Amino acid sequence: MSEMFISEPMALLFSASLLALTFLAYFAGLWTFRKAQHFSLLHPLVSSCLLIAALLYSLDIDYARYQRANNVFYWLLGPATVALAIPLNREFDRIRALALPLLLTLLLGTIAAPLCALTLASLFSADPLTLLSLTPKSVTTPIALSIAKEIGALGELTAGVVIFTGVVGAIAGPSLLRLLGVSDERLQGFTLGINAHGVGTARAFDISPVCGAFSSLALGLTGVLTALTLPTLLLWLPKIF
Amino acid sequence: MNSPKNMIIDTLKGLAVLVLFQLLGEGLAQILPLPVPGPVVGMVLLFFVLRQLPPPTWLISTAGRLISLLSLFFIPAGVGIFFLPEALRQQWPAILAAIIGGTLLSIALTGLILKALTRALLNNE
Repeated sequence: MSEMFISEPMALLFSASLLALTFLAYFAGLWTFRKAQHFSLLHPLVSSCLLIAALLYSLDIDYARYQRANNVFYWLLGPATVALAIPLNREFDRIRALALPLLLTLLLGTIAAPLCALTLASLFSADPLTLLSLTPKSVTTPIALSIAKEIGALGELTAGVVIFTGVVGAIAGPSLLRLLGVSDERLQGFTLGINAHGVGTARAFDISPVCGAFSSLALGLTGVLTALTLPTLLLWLPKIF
Repeated sequence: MNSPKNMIIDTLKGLAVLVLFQLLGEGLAQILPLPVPGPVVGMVLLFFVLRQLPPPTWLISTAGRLISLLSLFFIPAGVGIFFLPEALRQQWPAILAAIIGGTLLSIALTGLILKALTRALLNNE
Protein backbone atom coordinates (compact mmCIF):
# COMPACT_ATOMS: atom_id res chain seq x y z
CA MET A 1 0.00 0.00 0.00
CA SER A 2 2.72 2.52 1.02
CA GLU A 3 4.55 1.88 -2.25
CA MET A 4 1.54 3.32 -4.04
CA PHE A 5 2.09 6.74 -2.49
CA ILE A 6 5.86 6.89 -2.95
CA SER A 7 5.70 6.09 -6.66
CA GLU A 8 5.10 8.75 -9.27
CA PRO A 9 1.67 10.27 -10.00
CA MET A 10 1.22 8.34 -13.26
CA ALA A 11 1.53 5.02 -11.42
CA LEU A 12 -1.00 6.22 -8.87
CA LEU A 13 -3.39 7.21 -11.64
CA PHE A 14 -2.90 3.80 -13.25
CA SER A 15 -3.69 2.06 -9.94
CA ALA A 16 -6.80 4.20 -9.55
CA SER A 17 -7.97 3.22 -13.06
CA LEU A 18 -7.46 -0.48 -12.30
CA LEU A 19 -9.51 -0.03 -9.14
CA ALA A 20 -12.21 1.85 -11.06
CA LEU A 21 -12.20 -0.97 -13.63
CA THR A 22 -13.31 -3.43 -10.93
CA PHE A 23 -16.14 -1.13 -9.83
CA LEU A 24 -17.30 -0.42 -13.38
CA ALA A 25 -17.18 -4.09 -14.39
CA TYR A 26 -19.10 -5.06 -11.25
CA PHE A 27 -21.88 -2.50 -11.62
CA ALA A 28 -22.18 -3.18 -15.36
CA GLY A 29 -22.40 -6.89 -14.50
CA LEU A 30 -24.99 -6.24 -11.80
CA TRP A 31 -27.09 -4.13 -14.17
CA THR A 32 -27.01 -6.87 -16.82
CA PHE A 33 -27.84 -9.53 -14.21
CA ARG A 34 -30.95 -7.59 -13.15
CA LYS A 35 -32.00 -6.89 -16.75
CA ALA A 36 -31.66 -10.62 -17.47
CA GLN A 37 -33.90 -11.41 -14.49
CA HIS A 38 -31.13 -13.04 -12.42
CA PHE A 39 -30.15 -15.55 -15.11
CA SER A 40 -27.42 -17.50 -13.23
CA LEU A 41 -24.80 -17.62 -15.99
CA LEU A 42 -24.78 -13.82 -16.04
CA HIS A 43 -23.99 -13.52 -12.32
CA PRO A 44 -21.94 -10.31 -11.88
CA LEU A 45 -19.00 -12.25 -10.48
CA VAL A 46 -18.75 -14.29 -13.68
CA SER A 47 -19.31 -11.53 -16.22
CA SER A 48 -17.06 -9.00 -14.49
CA CYS A 49 -14.18 -11.48 -14.02
CA LEU A 50 -14.39 -12.44 -17.71
CA LEU A 51 -14.54 -8.80 -18.78
CA ILE A 52 -11.59 -7.77 -16.60
CA ALA A 53 -9.47 -10.78 -17.62
CA ALA A 54 -10.18 -10.05 -21.31
CA LEU A 55 -9.20 -6.39 -20.85
CA LEU A 56 -5.99 -7.23 -18.95
CA TYR A 57 -5.00 -9.69 -21.69
CA SER A 58 -5.75 -7.33 -24.55
CA LEU A 59 -4.03 -4.32 -22.93
CA ASP A 60 -1.14 -6.56 -21.83
CA ILE A 61 -1.43 -5.59 -18.14
CA ASP A 62 0.25 -7.78 -15.54
CA TYR A 63 -2.25 -9.60 -13.25
CA ALA A 64 -0.02 -8.93 -10.22
CA ARG A 65 -0.23 -5.19 -11.02
CA TYR A 66 -4.02 -5.37 -11.19
CA GLN A 67 -4.18 -7.36 -7.96
CA ARG A 68 -1.99 -4.84 -6.12
CA ALA A 69 -4.22 -1.94 -7.17
CA ASN A 70 -7.27 -3.86 -5.93
CA ASN A 71 -5.91 -4.86 -2.52
CA VAL A 72 -8.65 -2.87 -0.80
CA PHE A 73 -11.23 -5.53 -1.75
CA TYR A 74 -9.16 -8.29 -0.22
CA TRP A 75 -8.92 -6.14 2.90
CA LEU A 76 -12.71 -5.56 2.99
CA LEU A 77 -13.35 -9.32 2.99
CA GLY A 78 -12.24 -9.30 6.65
CA PRO A 79 -14.97 -7.00 8.05
CA ALA A 80 -17.49 -8.52 5.59
CA THR A 81 -16.81 -11.96 7.12
CA VAL A 82 -17.25 -10.57 10.64
CA ALA A 83 -20.52 -8.93 9.45
CA LEU A 84 -21.98 -12.41 8.79
CA ALA A 85 -22.47 -12.68 12.58
CA ILE A 86 -25.48 -10.35 12.28
CA PRO A 87 -27.74 -12.50 10.03
CA LEU A 88 -26.46 -15.53 11.92
CA ASN A 89 -27.67 -14.06 15.19
CA ARG A 90 -31.00 -12.97 13.68
CA GLU A 91 -31.79 -16.44 12.32
CA PHE A 92 -30.32 -18.37 15.23
CA ASP A 93 -33.63 -19.83 16.44
CA ARG A 94 -34.36 -21.32 13.01
CA ILE A 95 -30.84 -22.73 12.90
CA ARG A 96 -31.04 -24.25 16.36
CA ALA A 97 -34.26 -26.05 15.42
CA LEU A 98 -32.30 -27.98 12.76
CA ALA A 99 -29.00 -28.26 14.67
CA LEU A 100 -28.53 -32.02 14.59
CA PRO A 101 -29.14 -32.70 10.86
CA LEU A 102 -27.10 -29.59 10.01
CA LEU A 103 -24.10 -30.80 12.00
CA LEU A 104 -24.29 -34.33 10.56
CA THR A 105 -24.46 -32.98 7.01
CA LEU A 106 -21.58 -30.68 7.79
CA LEU A 107 -19.40 -33.60 8.89
CA LEU A 108 -20.22 -35.62 5.77
CA GLY A 109 -19.99 -32.58 3.50
CA THR A 110 -16.51 -31.55 4.60
CA ILE A 111 -15.30 -35.05 3.70
CA ALA A 112 -17.39 -35.35 0.51
CA ALA A 113 -16.16 -32.09 -1.05
CA PRO A 114 -12.44 -32.96 -1.19
CA LEU A 115 -13.19 -36.61 -2.09
CA CYS A 116 -15.40 -35.62 -5.04
CA ALA A 117 -12.69 -33.26 -6.30
CA LEU A 118 -9.97 -35.92 -5.96
CA THR A 119 -12.05 -38.60 -7.66
CA LEU A 120 -12.90 -36.44 -10.67
CA ALA A 121 -9.37 -35.04 -11.02
CA SER A 122 -7.69 -38.44 -10.80
CA LEU A 123 -9.92 -39.69 -13.63
CA PHE A 124 -8.10 -37.09 -15.75
CA SER A 125 -4.73 -38.22 -14.33
CA ALA A 126 -3.77 -35.06 -12.48
CA ASP A 127 -0.28 -34.92 -10.96
CA PRO A 128 0.03 -35.29 -7.15
CA LEU A 129 0.69 -31.58 -6.50
CA THR A 130 -2.42 -30.57 -8.44
CA LEU A 131 -4.49 -33.16 -6.57
CA LEU A 132 -3.24 -31.85 -3.25
CA SER A 133 -3.98 -28.25 -4.24
CA LEU A 134 -7.58 -29.16 -5.12
CA THR A 135 -8.49 -30.61 -1.71
CA PRO A 136 -9.34 -27.38 0.17
CA LYS A 137 -11.45 -26.12 -2.74
CA SER A 138 -14.77 -25.71 -0.91
CA VAL A 139 -13.35 -23.66 1.93
CA THR A 140 -13.34 -19.87 2.25
CA THR A 141 -10.19 -18.38 0.66
CA PRO A 142 -8.20 -17.34 3.78
CA ILE A 143 -8.71 -20.75 5.44
CA ALA A 144 -8.00 -22.57 2.16
CA LEU A 145 -4.70 -20.73 1.81
CA SER A 146 -3.55 -21.56 5.32
CA ILE A 147 -4.56 -25.22 4.77
CA ALA A 148 -2.67 -25.21 1.45
CA LYS A 149 0.45 -24.02 3.25
CA GLU A 150 0.08 -26.67 5.93
CA ILE A 151 -0.38 -29.62 3.54
CA GLY A 152 2.27 -28.36 1.12
CA ALA A 153 -0.09 -27.54 -1.76
CA LEU A 154 0.37 -24.82 -4.37
CA GLY A 155 -1.20 -21.66 -2.93
CA GLU A 156 -1.78 -19.87 -6.25
CA LEU A 157 -3.63 -22.85 -7.69
CA THR A 158 -5.68 -23.34 -4.52
CA ALA A 159 -6.73 -19.68 -4.52
CA GLY A 160 -7.94 -19.81 -8.12
CA VAL A 161 -9.66 -23.16 -7.68
CA VAL A 162 -11.45 -21.98 -4.54
CA ILE A 163 -12.93 -18.91 -6.24
CA PHE A 164 -13.95 -20.86 -9.34
CA THR A 165 -15.56 -23.56 -7.18
CA GLY A 166 -17.57 -20.84 -5.50
CA VAL A 167 -18.61 -19.46 -8.88
CA VAL A 168 -19.71 -22.89 -10.15
CA GLY A 169 -21.65 -23.50 -6.94
CA ALA A 170 -23.27 -20.08 -7.08
CA ILE A 171 -24.27 -20.46 -10.74
CA ALA A 172 -25.47 -24.05 -10.80
CA GLY A 173 -26.13 -24.81 -7.13
CA PRO A 174 -29.63 -23.39 -6.65
CA SER A 175 -31.01 -24.87 -9.91
CA LEU A 176 -29.37 -28.25 -9.27
CA LEU A 177 -30.83 -28.38 -5.77
CA ARG A 178 -34.31 -27.46 -7.02
CA LEU A 179 -33.98 -30.20 -9.65
CA LEU A 180 -33.21 -32.70 -6.86
CA GLY A 181 -36.24 -31.59 -4.89
CA VAL A 182 -34.26 -29.64 -2.27
CA SER A 183 -36.51 -26.60 -2.43
CA ASP A 184 -36.35 -25.34 1.18
CA GLU A 185 -34.33 -22.10 1.30
CA ARG A 186 -32.69 -23.07 4.58
CA LEU A 187 -31.37 -26.33 3.15
CA GLN A 188 -30.27 -24.64 -0.08
CA GLY A 189 -28.39 -22.01 1.91
CA PHE A 190 -26.60 -24.53 4.10
CA THR A 191 -25.61 -26.66 1.09
CA LEU A 192 -24.28 -23.59 -0.73
CA GLY A 193 -22.22 -22.59 2.30
CA ILE A 194 -20.66 -26.06 2.65
CA ASN A 195 -19.71 -26.35 -1.02
CA ALA A 196 -19.27 -22.82 -2.30
CA HIS A 197 -18.09 -20.76 0.73
CA GLY A 198 -18.32 -16.93 0.47
CA VAL A 199 -19.27 -16.79 -3.20
CA GLY A 200 -22.10 -19.25 -2.60
CA THR A 201 -23.08 -17.20 0.45
CA ALA A 202 -23.28 -14.03 -1.64
CA ARG A 203 -25.61 -15.94 -3.99
CA ALA A 204 -27.63 -17.25 -1.03
CA PHE A 205 -28.26 -13.68 0.12
CA ASP A 206 -29.66 -13.03 -3.40
CA ILE A 207 -32.23 -15.76 -2.74
CA SER A 208 -33.30 -14.55 0.72
CA PRO A 209 -31.86 -13.33 4.05
CA VAL A 210 -32.74 -16.67 5.69
CA CYS A 211 -30.97 -18.60 2.92
CA GLY A 212 -27.96 -16.29 3.41
CA ALA A 213 -27.87 -16.82 7.17
CA PHE A 214 -27.81 -20.62 6.77
CA SER A 215 -25.08 -20.27 4.17
CA SER A 216 -23.02 -18.01 6.49
CA LEU A 217 -23.22 -20.62 9.21
CA ALA A 218 -22.09 -23.42 6.88
CA LEU A 219 -19.30 -21.25 5.47
CA GLY A 220 -17.82 -20.64 8.92
CA LEU A 221 -18.24 -24.20 10.22
CA THR A 222 -16.93 -25.86 7.03
CA GLY A 223 -13.83 -23.69 7.13
CA VAL A 224 -13.05 -24.50 10.74
CA LEU A 225 -13.85 -28.21 10.44
CA THR A 226 -11.87 -28.67 7.21
CA ALA A 227 -8.85 -26.95 8.72
CA LEU A 228 -9.02 -29.45 11.59
CA THR A 229 -9.78 -32.63 9.61
CA LEU A 230 -8.24 -32.33 6.14
CA PRO A 231 -4.58 -32.84 7.20
CA THR A 232 -5.63 -36.09 8.92
CA LEU A 233 -7.85 -37.18 6.04
CA LEU A 234 -4.91 -36.73 3.66
CA LEU A 235 -2.83 -39.19 5.70
CA TRP A 236 -5.42 -41.88 4.94
CA LEU A 237 -6.04 -41.07 1.30
CA PRO A 238 -2.88 -42.56 -0.26
CA LYS A 239 -4.27 -45.96 0.78
CA ILE A 240 -7.35 -45.40 -1.38
CA PHE A 241 -5.99 -43.60 -4.45
CA MET B 1 -31.65 10.32 10.55
CA ASN B 2 -31.37 9.34 6.90
CA SER B 3 -29.26 12.28 5.71
CA PRO B 4 -26.14 11.32 3.72
CA LYS B 5 -23.93 12.69 6.50
CA ASN B 6 -25.55 10.43 9.08
CA MET B 7 -25.29 7.50 6.70
CA ILE B 8 -21.55 8.03 6.34
CA ILE B 9 -21.06 8.34 10.10
CA ASP B 10 -23.17 5.22 10.69
CA THR B 11 -21.17 3.28 8.10
CA LEU B 12 -17.89 4.38 9.67
CA LYS B 13 -19.10 3.43 13.15
CA GLY B 14 -20.24 0.05 11.85
CA LEU B 15 -16.96 -0.57 10.01
CA ALA B 16 -15.00 0.38 13.14
CA VAL B 17 -16.86 -2.23 15.20
CA LEU B 18 -16.43 -4.92 12.54
CA VAL B 19 -12.71 -4.18 12.16
CA LEU B 20 -12.32 -4.18 15.94
CA PHE B 21 -13.81 -7.69 16.14
CA GLN B 22 -11.63 -8.79 13.22
CA LEU B 23 -8.53 -7.59 15.12
CA LEU B 24 -9.71 -9.31 18.32
CA GLY B 25 -10.18 -12.45 16.23
CA GLU B 26 -6.72 -12.16 14.68
CA GLY B 27 -5.21 -11.70 18.14
CA LEU B 28 -7.05 -14.67 19.63
CA ALA B 29 -6.17 -16.90 16.67
CA GLN B 30 -2.50 -15.97 17.19
CA ILE B 31 -2.48 -16.57 20.93
CA LEU B 32 -4.42 -19.83 21.03
CA PRO B 33 -2.95 -20.87 18.03
CA LEU B 34 -6.14 -21.80 16.17
CA PRO B 35 -5.91 -23.05 12.58
CA VAL B 36 -8.66 -20.55 11.75
CA PRO B 37 -8.29 -17.08 10.19
CA GLY B 38 -8.90 -13.99 12.34
CA PRO B 39 -12.08 -12.77 10.60
CA VAL B 40 -13.84 -16.11 11.22
CA VAL B 41 -12.89 -16.00 14.92
CA GLY B 42 -14.08 -12.37 14.92
CA MET B 43 -17.42 -13.47 13.47
CA VAL B 44 -17.84 -16.02 16.27
CA LEU B 45 -16.90 -13.44 18.93
CA LEU B 46 -19.36 -10.88 17.56
CA PHE B 47 -22.04 -13.58 17.41
CA PHE B 48 -21.61 -14.32 21.12
CA VAL B 49 -21.76 -10.62 21.99
CA LEU B 50 -24.97 -10.25 19.93
CA ARG B 51 -26.57 -13.13 21.86
CA GLN B 52 -26.22 -10.93 24.97
CA LEU B 53 -27.11 -7.49 23.60
CA PRO B 54 -29.09 -6.73 20.43
CA PRO B 55 -27.19 -4.99 17.59
CA PRO B 56 -27.77 -1.22 17.06
CA THR B 57 -29.39 -0.24 13.74
CA TRP B 58 -26.19 1.33 12.36
CA LEU B 59 -24.36 -1.97 12.78
CA ILE B 60 -27.19 -3.87 11.08
CA SER B 61 -27.24 -1.48 8.13
CA THR B 62 -23.44 -1.48 7.69
CA ALA B 63 -23.34 -5.28 7.86
CA GLY B 64 -26.16 -5.50 5.32
CA ARG B 65 -24.33 -3.16 2.95
CA LEU B 66 -21.05 -5.09 3.20
CA ILE B 67 -22.78 -8.45 2.72
CA SER B 68 -24.63 -7.21 -0.37
CA LEU B 69 -21.23 -6.29 -1.86
CA LEU B 70 -19.58 -9.68 -1.12
CA SER B 71 -19.48 -10.59 -4.84
CA LEU B 72 -17.60 -7.37 -5.61
CA PHE B 73 -14.90 -8.18 -3.04
CA PHE B 74 -14.23 -11.55 -4.68
CA ILE B 75 -13.64 -10.14 -8.18
CA PRO B 76 -9.85 -9.47 -7.98
CA ALA B 77 -9.25 -13.02 -6.70
CA GLY B 78 -11.63 -14.46 -9.31
CA VAL B 79 -9.75 -12.81 -12.17
CA GLY B 80 -6.67 -14.78 -11.01
CA ILE B 81 -8.05 -18.07 -12.36
CA PHE B 82 -7.32 -16.77 -15.88
CA PHE B 83 -3.68 -16.11 -15.01
CA LEU B 84 -2.43 -19.47 -13.69
CA PRO B 85 1.30 -20.33 -13.87
CA GLU B 86 2.50 -21.85 -17.17
CA ALA B 87 3.42 -25.20 -15.58
CA LEU B 88 -0.19 -25.87 -14.65
CA ARG B 89 -1.64 -25.38 -18.12
CA GLN B 90 -1.53 -29.11 -19.00
CA GLN B 91 -3.42 -29.90 -15.80
CA TRP B 92 -6.41 -27.91 -17.05
CA PRO B 93 -8.72 -30.86 -17.87
CA ALA B 94 -8.26 -32.37 -14.41
CA ILE B 95 -8.68 -29.01 -12.69
CA LEU B 96 -11.83 -28.23 -14.63
CA ALA B 97 -13.25 -31.70 -13.95
CA ALA B 98 -12.66 -31.26 -10.22
CA ILE B 99 -14.06 -27.74 -10.12
CA ILE B 100 -17.16 -28.32 -12.24
CA GLY B 101 -17.89 -32.03 -11.82
CA GLY B 102 -16.59 -32.28 -8.26
CA THR B 103 -18.52 -29.26 -7.06
CA LEU B 104 -21.80 -30.32 -8.68
CA LEU B 105 -21.38 -33.84 -7.31
CA SER B 106 -20.72 -32.69 -3.75
CA ILE B 107 -23.58 -30.16 -3.87
CA ALA B 108 -25.95 -32.92 -4.99
CA LEU B 109 -24.64 -35.29 -2.30
CA THR B 110 -24.80 -32.84 0.60
CA GLY B 111 -28.15 -31.43 -0.55
CA LEU B 112 -29.73 -34.88 -0.67
CA ILE B 113 -28.21 -35.93 2.67
CA LEU B 114 -29.51 -32.76 4.30
CA LYS B 115 -32.95 -33.23 2.77
CA ALA B 116 -33.14 -36.82 4.00
CA LEU B 117 -31.97 -35.90 7.51
CA THR B 118 -34.34 -32.97 7.93
CA ARG B 119 -37.41 -34.65 6.42
CA ALA B 120 -38.94 -35.59 9.79
CA LEU B 121 -38.27 -32.18 11.35
CA LEU B 122 -39.54 -30.13 8.42
CA ASN B 123 -42.72 -32.19 8.00
CA ASN B 124 -43.78 -31.25 11.51
CA GLU B 125 -43.77 -27.52 10.73
